[in-house]
Amino acid sequence: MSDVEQELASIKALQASLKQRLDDDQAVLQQLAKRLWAQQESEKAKLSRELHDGIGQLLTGLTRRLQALSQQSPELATLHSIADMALHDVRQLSRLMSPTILDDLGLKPALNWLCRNLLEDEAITYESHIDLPADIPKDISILLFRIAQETLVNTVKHSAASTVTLSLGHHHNVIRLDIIDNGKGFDTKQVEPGIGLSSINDRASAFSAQLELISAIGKGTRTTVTVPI
Amino acid sequence: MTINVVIADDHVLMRQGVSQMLNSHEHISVIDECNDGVELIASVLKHSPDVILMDISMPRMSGLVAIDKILAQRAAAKILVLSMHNEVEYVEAMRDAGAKGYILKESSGESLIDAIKKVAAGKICFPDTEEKNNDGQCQKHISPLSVLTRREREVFFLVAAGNTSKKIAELLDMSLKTAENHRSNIYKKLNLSSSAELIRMAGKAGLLE
Ligand SMILES: Nc1ncnc2c1ncn2[C@@H]1O[C@H](COP(=O)(O)OP(=O)(O)O)[C@@H](O)[C@H]1O
Ligand SMILES: [Mg+2]
Repeated sequence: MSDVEQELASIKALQASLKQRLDDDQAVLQQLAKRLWAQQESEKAKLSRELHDGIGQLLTGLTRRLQALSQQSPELATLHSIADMALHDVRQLSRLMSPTILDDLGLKPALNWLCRNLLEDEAITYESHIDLPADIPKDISILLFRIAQETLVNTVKHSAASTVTLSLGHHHNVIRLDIIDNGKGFDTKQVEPGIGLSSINDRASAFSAQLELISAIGKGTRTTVTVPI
Repeated sequence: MTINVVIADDHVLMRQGVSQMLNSHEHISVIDECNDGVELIASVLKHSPDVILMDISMPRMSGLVAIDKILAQRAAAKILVLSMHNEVEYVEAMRDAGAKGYILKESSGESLIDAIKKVAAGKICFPDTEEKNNDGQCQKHISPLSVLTRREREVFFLVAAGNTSKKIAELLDMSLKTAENHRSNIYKKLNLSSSAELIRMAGKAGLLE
Protein backbone atom coordinates (compact mmCIF):
# COMPACT_ATOMS: atom_id res chain seq x y z
CA MET A 1 0.00 0.00 0.00
CA SER A 2 1.29 3.47 -0.87
CA ASP A 3 1.38 6.28 1.66
CA VAL A 4 -1.54 7.98 -0.05
CA GLU A 5 -3.60 4.83 -0.01
CA GLN A 6 -2.79 4.29 3.62
CA GLU A 7 -3.79 7.83 4.49
CA LEU A 8 -7.04 7.50 2.55
CA ALA A 9 -7.86 4.29 4.35
CA SER A 10 -7.28 5.83 7.76
CA ILE A 11 -9.42 8.86 6.86
CA LYS A 12 -12.20 6.49 5.78
CA ALA A 13 -11.92 4.58 9.05
CA LEU A 14 -12.10 7.85 11.00
CA GLN A 15 -15.14 8.95 9.01
CA ALA A 16 -16.84 5.66 9.66
CA SER A 17 -16.22 5.86 13.37
CA LEU A 18 -17.47 9.46 13.51
CA LYS A 19 -20.58 8.49 11.59
CA GLN A 20 -21.09 5.62 14.02
CA ARG A 21 -20.82 7.97 16.98
CA LEU A 22 -23.25 10.40 15.40
CA ASP A 23 -25.72 7.57 14.78
CA ASP A 24 -25.30 6.38 18.35
CA ASP A 25 -25.89 9.88 19.72
CA GLN A 26 -28.94 10.23 17.52
CA ALA A 27 -30.31 6.92 18.76
CA VAL A 28 -29.74 8.00 22.37
CA LEU A 29 -31.57 11.28 21.74
CA GLN A 30 -34.43 9.49 20.06
CA GLN A 31 -34.74 7.11 23.02
CA LEU A 32 -34.74 10.09 25.35
CA ALA A 33 -37.44 11.81 23.31
CA LYS A 34 -39.56 8.65 23.40
CA ARG A 35 -39.13 8.44 27.16
CA LEU A 36 -40.21 12.05 27.62
CA TRP A 37 -43.38 11.46 25.63
CA ALA A 38 -44.12 8.35 27.65
CA GLN A 39 -43.65 10.36 30.85
CA GLN A 40 -46.03 13.02 29.61
CA GLU A 41 -48.62 10.34 28.91
CA SER A 42 -48.38 8.96 32.41
CA GLU A 43 -48.71 12.45 33.96
CA LYS A 44 -51.81 13.01 31.89
CA ALA A 45 -53.20 9.66 32.98
CA LYS A 46 -52.82 10.64 36.62
CA LEU A 47 -54.55 13.98 36.13
CA SER A 48 -57.28 12.33 34.13
CA ARG A 49 -58.03 9.87 36.93
CA GLU A 50 -58.18 12.68 39.46
CA LEU A 51 -60.63 14.59 37.31
CA HIS A 52 -62.77 11.54 36.78
CA ASP A 53 -62.78 10.30 40.36
CA GLY A 54 -62.99 13.74 41.94
CA ILE A 55 -65.15 16.32 40.16
CA GLY A 56 -66.61 13.58 38.00
CA GLN A 57 -68.08 11.68 40.95
CA LEU A 58 -69.47 14.86 42.53
CA LEU A 59 -71.15 15.83 39.30
CA THR A 60 -72.55 12.34 38.84
CA GLY A 61 -74.22 12.63 42.23
CA LEU A 62 -75.54 16.09 41.48
CA THR A 63 -76.88 15.09 38.08
CA ARG A 64 -78.70 12.05 39.44
CA ARG A 65 -80.39 14.07 42.15
CA LEU A 66 -81.44 16.77 39.74
CA GLN A 67 -82.74 14.16 37.36
CA ALA A 68 -84.97 12.78 40.09
CA LEU A 69 -86.31 16.29 40.67
CA SER A 70 -86.55 17.33 37.05
CA GLN A 71 -90.21 16.34 36.63
CA GLN A 72 -91.20 18.86 39.28
CA SER A 73 -90.54 22.08 37.42
CA PRO A 74 -89.10 23.38 34.16
CA GLU A 75 -86.44 25.20 36.11
CA LEU A 76 -85.22 21.99 37.73
CA ALA A 77 -85.28 20.30 34.34
CA THR A 78 -83.02 23.04 33.01
CA LEU A 79 -80.69 22.69 36.00
CA HIS A 80 -80.50 18.97 35.37
CA SER A 81 -79.69 19.62 31.76
CA ILE A 82 -76.87 22.01 32.73
CA ALA A 83 -75.42 19.63 35.34
CA ASP A 84 -75.57 16.87 32.76
CA MET A 85 -73.60 19.00 30.30
CA ALA A 86 -70.97 19.74 32.94
CA LEU A 87 -70.67 16.02 33.71
CA HIS A 88 -70.38 15.22 30.04
CA ASP A 89 -67.63 17.85 29.65
CA VAL A 90 -65.61 16.60 32.60
CA ARG A 91 -65.84 13.02 31.39
CA GLN A 92 -64.87 13.98 27.89
CA LEU A 93 -61.95 16.07 29.12
CA SER A 94 -60.74 13.25 31.32
CA ARG A 95 -61.04 10.68 28.57
CA LEU A 96 -59.38 12.82 25.94
CA MET A 97 -56.57 13.49 28.37
CA SER A 98 -55.94 9.80 28.82
CA PRO A 99 -57.73 7.62 26.29
CA THR A 100 -58.21 4.37 28.23
CA ILE A 101 -60.18 3.14 25.24
CA LEU A 102 -56.81 2.63 23.50
CA ASP A 103 -55.73 0.09 26.16
CA ASP A 104 -59.16 -1.41 26.50
CA LEU A 105 -60.23 -1.84 22.90
CA GLY A 106 -57.35 -0.89 20.61
CA LEU A 107 -56.63 1.80 18.03
CA LYS A 108 -59.58 1.33 15.69
CA PRO A 109 -62.40 1.84 18.21
CA ALA A 110 -60.28 4.54 19.83
CA LEU A 111 -60.03 6.53 16.60
CA ASN A 112 -63.74 6.14 15.92
CA TRP A 113 -64.46 7.31 19.43
CA LEU A 114 -62.16 10.30 18.95
CA CYS A 115 -63.89 11.36 15.73
CA ARG A 116 -67.29 10.99 17.29
CA ASN A 117 -66.37 12.96 20.39
CA LEU A 118 -64.61 15.80 18.65
CA LEU A 119 -66.68 16.14 15.49
CA GLU A 120 -70.25 15.11 16.25
CA ASP A 121 -70.79 18.03 18.58
CA GLU A 122 -69.48 20.43 16.00
CA ALA A 123 -71.85 19.69 13.14
CA ILE A 124 -68.99 18.21 11.12
CA THR A 125 -69.87 14.98 9.35
CA TYR A 126 -67.09 12.45 9.11
CA GLU A 127 -66.11 9.18 7.59
CA SER A 128 -63.47 6.81 8.81
CA HIS A 129 -61.86 3.92 6.98
CA ILE A 130 -59.54 2.00 9.22
CA ASP A 131 -57.60 -1.07 8.23
CA LEU A 132 -55.07 -2.00 10.87
CA PRO A 133 -52.27 -4.55 10.83
CA ALA A 134 -52.66 -7.29 13.42
CA ASP A 135 -50.25 -6.12 16.06
CA ILE A 136 -49.28 -2.51 16.53
CA PRO A 137 -46.84 -1.60 19.31
CA LYS A 138 -48.54 0.38 22.02
CA ASP A 139 -46.34 3.47 21.62
CA ILE A 140 -47.17 3.64 17.91
CA SER A 141 -50.89 3.45 18.74
CA ILE A 142 -50.51 6.34 21.14
CA LEU A 143 -48.51 8.31 18.60
CA LEU A 144 -51.16 7.90 15.91
CA PHE A 145 -53.97 8.64 18.33
CA ARG A 146 -52.33 11.84 19.56
CA ILE A 147 -51.57 13.06 16.05
CA ALA A 148 -55.17 12.41 15.03
CA GLN A 149 -56.38 14.21 18.13
CA GLU A 150 -54.26 17.32 17.58
CA THR A 151 -55.20 17.41 13.91
CA LEU A 152 -58.92 17.04 14.54
CA VAL A 153 -58.84 19.69 17.26
CA ASN A 154 -57.29 22.04 14.70
CA THR A 155 -59.98 21.13 12.21
CA VAL A 156 -62.65 21.99 14.75
CA LYS A 157 -60.94 25.18 15.88
CA HIS A 158 -59.67 26.65 12.66
CA SER A 159 -61.13 25.08 9.54
CA ALA A 160 -64.92 25.71 9.56
CA ALA A 161 -65.06 22.45 7.60
CA SER A 162 -68.30 20.54 7.05
CA THR A 163 -66.72 17.13 6.42
CA VAL A 164 -63.65 15.22 7.53
CA THR A 165 -62.26 11.92 6.30
CA LEU A 166 -59.90 9.82 8.35
CA SER A 167 -58.24 6.85 6.70
CA LEU A 168 -55.71 4.47 8.06
CA GLY A 169 -54.07 1.70 6.09
CA HIS A 170 -50.87 -0.31 6.01
CA HIS A 171 -48.46 -1.65 3.45
CA HIS A 172 -45.16 -3.50 4.01
CA ASN A 173 -44.75 -2.65 7.71
CA VAL A 174 -45.61 0.99 7.19
CA ILE A 175 -48.79 2.49 8.58
CA ARG A 176 -50.29 5.49 6.87
CA LEU A 177 -52.85 7.82 8.40
CA ASP A 178 -54.60 10.56 6.40
CA ILE A 179 -56.90 13.19 7.81
CA ILE A 180 -58.55 15.43 5.27
CA ASP A 181 -60.92 18.35 5.89
CA ASN A 182 -62.82 20.43 3.36
CA GLY A 183 -62.43 23.65 5.34
CA LYS A 184 -60.94 27.00 4.54
CA GLY A 185 -57.31 25.86 4.60
CA PHE A 186 -54.29 28.05 5.33
CA ASP A 187 -51.01 29.14 3.82
CA THR A 188 -48.45 26.78 5.34
CA LYS A 189 -45.62 29.19 4.43
CA GLN A 190 -47.21 32.17 6.17
CA VAL A 191 -48.72 30.60 9.27
CA GLU A 192 -46.30 29.91 12.11
CA PRO A 193 -46.76 26.47 13.65
CA GLY A 194 -48.13 26.79 17.18
CA ILE A 195 -47.74 24.41 20.08
CA GLY A 196 -50.06 21.87 18.49
CA LEU A 197 -48.29 21.44 15.18
CA SER A 198 -44.82 21.65 16.74
CA SER A 199 -45.62 18.99 19.27
CA ILE A 200 -46.91 16.49 16.73
CA ASN A 201 -43.85 17.17 14.58
CA ASP A 202 -41.51 16.47 17.51
CA ARG A 203 -43.46 13.46 18.45
CA ALA A 204 -43.38 12.06 14.94
CA SER A 205 -39.62 12.41 14.71
CA ALA A 206 -39.13 10.56 17.98
CA PHE A 207 -40.67 7.55 16.22
CA SER A 208 -39.07 8.08 12.81
CA ALA A 209 -42.48 8.91 11.41
CA GLN A 210 -43.01 11.27 8.46
CA LEU A 211 -45.56 13.99 8.99
CA GLU A 212 -46.78 16.01 6.04
CA LEU A 213 -49.29 18.83 6.12
CA ILE A 214 -50.70 20.08 2.85
CA SER A 215 -53.01 23.06 2.85
CA ALA A 216 -53.93 26.09 0.78
CA ILE A 217 -56.44 28.85 1.33
CA GLY A 218 -59.82 27.68 0.10
CA LYS A 219 -58.57 24.16 -0.53
CA GLY A 220 -58.94 22.41 2.81
CA THR A 221 -56.19 20.67 4.76
CA ARG A 222 -54.64 17.23 4.55
CA THR A 223 -52.38 15.73 7.19
CA THR A 224 -50.52 12.54 6.36
CA VAL A 225 -48.41 10.44 8.70
CA THR A 226 -46.42 7.42 7.71
CA VAL A 227 -44.76 5.38 10.40
CA PRO A 228 -42.67 2.21 10.21
CA ILE A 229 -43.61 -0.57 12.62
CA MET B 1 -82.09 -23.02 41.65
CA THR B 2 -79.13 -20.77 42.30
CA ILE B 3 -77.21 -18.77 39.73
CA ASN B 4 -73.48 -19.24 40.30
CA VAL B 5 -71.44 -16.16 39.45
CA VAL B 6 -67.72 -15.50 39.10
CA ILE B 7 -66.79 -11.84 39.27
CA ALA B 8 -63.62 -10.16 37.98
CA ASP B 9 -62.66 -6.56 38.72
CA ASP B 10 -59.33 -5.15 39.87
CA HIS B 11 -61.11 -2.54 41.95
CA VAL B 12 -61.33 -4.46 45.24
CA LEU B 13 -63.91 -2.30 47.01
CA MET B 14 -66.15 -2.27 43.99
CA ARG B 15 -65.84 -6.03 43.59
CA GLN B 16 -66.54 -6.80 47.22
CA GLY B 17 -69.47 -4.40 47.31
CA VAL B 18 -71.04 -6.02 44.27
CA SER B 19 -70.37 -9.53 45.63
CA GLN B 20 -71.96 -8.73 48.93
CA MET B 21 -74.99 -7.22 47.28
CA LEU B 22 -75.40 -10.22 44.98
CA ASN B 23 -74.88 -12.76 47.76
CA SER B 24 -77.68 -11.20 49.75
CA HIS B 25 -80.01 -12.21 46.94
CA GLU B 26 -81.43 -15.66 47.59
CA HIS B 27 -80.98 -17.03 44.07
CA ILE B 28 -77.52 -15.68 43.35
CA SER B 29 -74.23 -16.90 44.72
CA VAL B 30 -70.82 -15.43 44.00
CA ILE B 31 -68.51 -18.44 43.99
CA ASP B 32 -65.22 -16.75 43.16
CA GLU B 33 -63.65 -13.29 42.89
CA CYS B 34 -60.78 -12.49 40.52
CA ASN B 35 -58.41 -9.60 40.24
CA ASP B 36 -57.56 -9.75 36.53
CA GLY B 37 -58.14 -11.57 33.26
CA VAL B 38 -55.58 -14.29 33.93
CA GLU B 39 -57.17 -15.27 37.24
CA LEU B 40 -60.58 -15.12 35.63
CA ILE B 41 -59.75 -17.64 32.94
CA ALA B 42 -58.40 -20.11 35.51
CA SER B 43 -61.47 -19.62 37.67
CA VAL B 44 -63.91 -20.10 34.79
CA LEU B 45 -62.22 -23.36 33.78
CA LYS B 46 -62.30 -24.57 37.34
CA HIS B 47 -65.82 -23.55 38.38
CA SER B 48 -67.82 -23.34 35.11
CA PRO B 49 -70.05 -20.57 36.52
CA ASP B 50 -73.52 -19.85 35.15
CA VAL B 51 -72.66 -16.20 34.66
CA ILE B 52 -69.31 -14.41 34.37
CA LEU B 53 -69.51 -10.83 35.58
CA MET B 54 -66.44 -8.90 34.48
CA ASP B 55 -64.86 -5.49 34.10
CA ILE B 56 -63.00 -4.45 30.93
CA SER B 57 -60.01 -2.44 32.17
CA MET B 58 -57.95 -4.86 34.22
CA PRO B 59 -54.21 -5.39 34.73
CA ARG B 60 -52.23 -8.33 33.25
CA MET B 61 -54.89 -9.18 30.70
CA SER B 62 -57.58 -6.84 29.45
CA GLY B 63 -61.21 -7.88 29.46
CA LEU B 64 -61.38 -8.02 25.69
CA VAL B 65 -58.56 -10.55 25.47
CA ALA B 66 -59.98 -12.52 28.40
CA ILE B 67 -63.40 -12.82 26.70
CA ASP B 68 -61.70 -14.18 23.61
CA LYS B 69 -59.79 -16.79 25.57
CA ILE B 70 -62.76 -17.81 27.67
CA LEU B 71 -65.00 -18.29 24.65
CA ALA B 72 -62.27 -20.24 22.85
CA GLN B 73 -62.42 -22.82 25.65
CA ARG B 74 -66.02 -22.49 26.81
CA ALA B 75 -68.00 -21.41 23.78
CA ALA B 76 -71.28 -21.33 25.70
CA ALA B 77 -70.00 -19.13 28.53
CA LYS B 78 -72.44 -16.39 29.53
CA ILE B 79 -70.50 -13.21 30.00
CA LEU B 80 -72.01 -10.04 31.43
CA VAL B 81 -69.71 -7.03 31.22
CA LEU B 82 -69.82 -4.62 34.15
CA SER B 83 -68.21 -1.37 33.07
CA MET B 84 -67.95 2.33 33.84
CA HIS B 85 -67.87 3.19 30.14
CA ASN B 86 -71.16 4.21 28.57
CA GLU B 87 -69.80 4.85 25.08
CA VAL B 88 -71.17 3.00 22.07
CA GLU B 89 -67.70 1.86 21.04
CA TYR B 90 -67.37 -0.12 24.26
CA VAL B 91 -70.79 -1.68 24.06
CA GLU B 92 -70.31 -2.63 20.42
CA ALA B 93 -66.83 -4.06 21.00
CA MET B 94 -68.10 -6.27 23.83
CA ARG B 95 -71.10 -7.40 21.82
CA ASP B 96 -68.81 -8.23 18.88
CA ALA B 97 -66.44 -10.10 21.21
CA GLY B 98 -69.31 -12.37 22.23
CA ALA B 99 -70.50 -11.03 25.60
CA LYS B 100 -74.18 -11.67 26.34
CA GLY B 101 -74.77 -8.43 28.18
CA TYR B 102 -73.40 -5.08 29.24
CA ILE B 103 -74.27 -3.05 32.29
CA LEU B 104 -72.91 0.16 33.75
CA LYS B 105 -71.30 0.24 37.18
CA GLU B 106 -73.49 3.17 38.12
CA SER B 107 -76.65 1.08 37.58
CA SER B 108 -78.83 0.21 40.53
CA GLY B 109 -78.50 -3.12 42.33
CA GLU B 110 -81.87 -4.24 41.01
CA SER B 111 -80.92 -3.65 37.41
CA LEU B 112 -77.71 -5.59 37.92
CA ILE B 113 -79.63 -8.51 39.39
CA ASP B 114 -82.16 -8.33 36.55
CA ALA B 115 -79.35 -8.38 34.03
CA ILE B 116 -77.72 -11.40 35.69
CA LYS B 117 -81.03 -13.29 35.66
CA LYS B 118 -81.64 -12.44 32.03
CA VAL B 119 -78.18 -13.54 30.94
CA ALA B 120 -78.40 -16.71 33.04
CA ALA B 121 -81.70 -17.50 31.29
CA GLY B 122 -79.94 -17.29 27.93
CA LYS B 123 -81.21 -13.85 26.96
CA ILE B 124 -79.06 -10.93 25.96
CA CYS B 125 -79.05 -7.62 27.77
CA PHE B 126 -77.43 -4.58 26.22
CA PRO B 127 -78.27 -0.95 26.92
CA ASP B 128 -79.53 1.33 24.19
CA THR B 129 -76.39 2.52 22.55
CA GLU B 130 -77.42 6.02 23.46
CA GLU B 131 -74.79 7.97 25.32
CA LYS B 132 -77.22 9.97 27.31
CA ASN B 133 -78.63 7.01 29.17
CA ASN B 134 -77.79 7.50 32.81
CA ASP B 135 -79.15 4.22 34.04
CA GLY B 136 -77.43 2.25 31.33
CA GLN B 137 -80.26 -0.23 31.48
CA CYS B 138 -82.68 -0.83 28.68
CA GLN B 139 -84.67 2.35 29.48
CA LYS B 140 -85.59 5.37 27.41
CA HIS B 141 -85.31 9.01 28.35
CA ILE B 142 -88.28 11.27 27.97
CA SER B 143 -86.47 14.55 27.54
CA PRO B 144 -86.86 15.68 23.91
CA LEU B 145 -83.34 17.06 24.10
CA SER B 146 -81.75 13.66 24.61
CA VAL B 147 -81.44 13.21 20.86
CA LEU B 148 -79.26 16.33 20.64
CA THR B 149 -75.53 16.41 21.20
CA ARG B 150 -74.18 18.50 24.03
CA ARG B 151 -73.27 21.37 21.71
CA GLU B 152 -76.62 21.20 19.98
CA ARG B 153 -78.34 21.55 23.31
CA GLU B 154 -76.41 24.73 23.98
CA VAL B 155 -77.48 26.08 20.62
CA PHE B 156 -81.03 24.92 21.28
CA PHE B 157 -81.28 27.01 24.45
CA LEU B 158 -79.81 30.04 22.70
CA VAL B 159 -82.29 29.73 19.82
CA ALA B 160 -85.11 29.27 22.31
CA ALA B 161 -83.98 32.50 23.99
CA GLY B 162 -84.44 34.27 20.66
CA ASN B 163 -80.82 34.63 19.52
CA THR B 164 -79.86 34.89 15.84
CA SER B 165 -77.29 32.50 14.35
CA LYS B 166 -74.83 35.38 14.24
CA LYS B 167 -75.27 36.09 17.92
CA ILE B 168 -75.01 32.39 18.76
CA ALA B 169 -71.78 32.09 16.76
CA GLU B 170 -70.42 35.00 18.77
CA LEU B 171 -71.53 33.63 22.13
CA LEU B 172 -70.19 30.14 21.52
CA ASP B 173 -67.05 31.28 19.74
CA MET B 174 -67.72 29.46 16.48
CA SER B 175 -68.06 30.48 12.85
CA LEU B 176 -71.43 31.59 11.52
CA LYS B 177 -71.47 28.59 9.21
CA THR B 178 -70.95 26.21 12.10
CA ALA B 179 -73.76 27.83 14.08
CA GLU B 180 -76.07 27.51 11.08
CA ASN B 181 -75.07 23.87 10.64
CA HIS B 182 -75.98 23.19 14.26
CA ARG B 183 -79.27 24.94 13.84
CA SER B 184 -80.29 22.96 10.82
CA ASN B 185 -79.22 19.69 12.48
CA ILE B 186 -81.37 20.54 15.50
CA TYR B 187 -84.36 21.28 13.28
CA LYS B 188 -83.83 18.02 11.47
CA LYS B 189 -83.49 15.93 14.63
CA LEU B 190 -86.48 17.50 16.33
CA ASN B 191 -88.53 17.66 13.16
CA LEU B 192 -88.95 21.43 13.25
CA SER B 193 -88.90 23.96 10.46
CA SER B 194 -88.37 27.34 12.13
CA SER B 195 -87.17 29.06 15.27
CA ALA B 196 -90.78 29.95 16.06
CA GLU B 197 -91.62 26.24 16.11
CA LEU B 198 -88.59 25.56 18.24
CA ILE B 199 -89.62 28.16 20.81
CA ARG B 200 -93.17 26.81 20.86
CA MET B 201 -91.87 23.29 21.36
CA ALA B 202 -89.48 24.39 24.11
CA GLY B 203 -92.35 26.17 25.85
CA LYS B 204 -94.57 23.08 25.70
CA ALA B 205 -91.81 20.89 27.06
CA GLY B 206 -91.27 23.30 29.94
CA LEU B 207 -87.77 24.17 28.80
CA LEU B 208 -88.14 27.95 28.76
CA GLU B 209 -87.09 29.96 31.78
N1 LIG C 1 -57.25 22.20 9.61
C1 LIG C 1 -56.86 23.51 9.62
N2 LIG C 1 -57.58 24.42 8.91
C2 LIG C 1 -57.21 25.74 8.90
N3 LIG C 1 -56.13 26.21 9.57
C3 LIG C 1 -55.37 25.36 10.30
C4 LIG C 1 -55.70 23.97 10.36
N4 LIG C 1 -54.78 23.35 11.13
C5 LIG C 1 -53.92 24.32 11.54
N5 LIG C 1 -54.27 25.53 11.04
C6 LIG C 1 -53.52 26.80 11.21
O1 LIG C 1 -52.26 26.49 11.78
C7 LIG C 1 -52.06 27.24 12.97
C8 LIG C 1 -51.20 26.51 13.94
O2 LIG C 1 -51.87 25.39 14.53
P1 LIG C 1 -51.38 24.81 15.91
O3 LIG C 1 -49.91 24.62 15.86
O4 LIG C 1 -52.18 23.61 16.24
O5 LIG C 1 -51.67 25.98 16.96
P2 LIG C 1 -53.09 26.50 17.51
O6 LIG C 1 -54.12 25.48 17.14
O7 LIG C 1 -52.90 26.60 18.98
O8 LIG C 1 -53.33 27.83 16.86
C9 LIG C 1 -53.45 27.54 13.47
O9 LIG C 1 -53.51 28.68 14.27
C10 LIG C 1 -54.22 27.73 12.16
O10 LIG C 1 -54.04 29.04 11.69
MG1 LIG D 1 -53.91 23.40 17.49
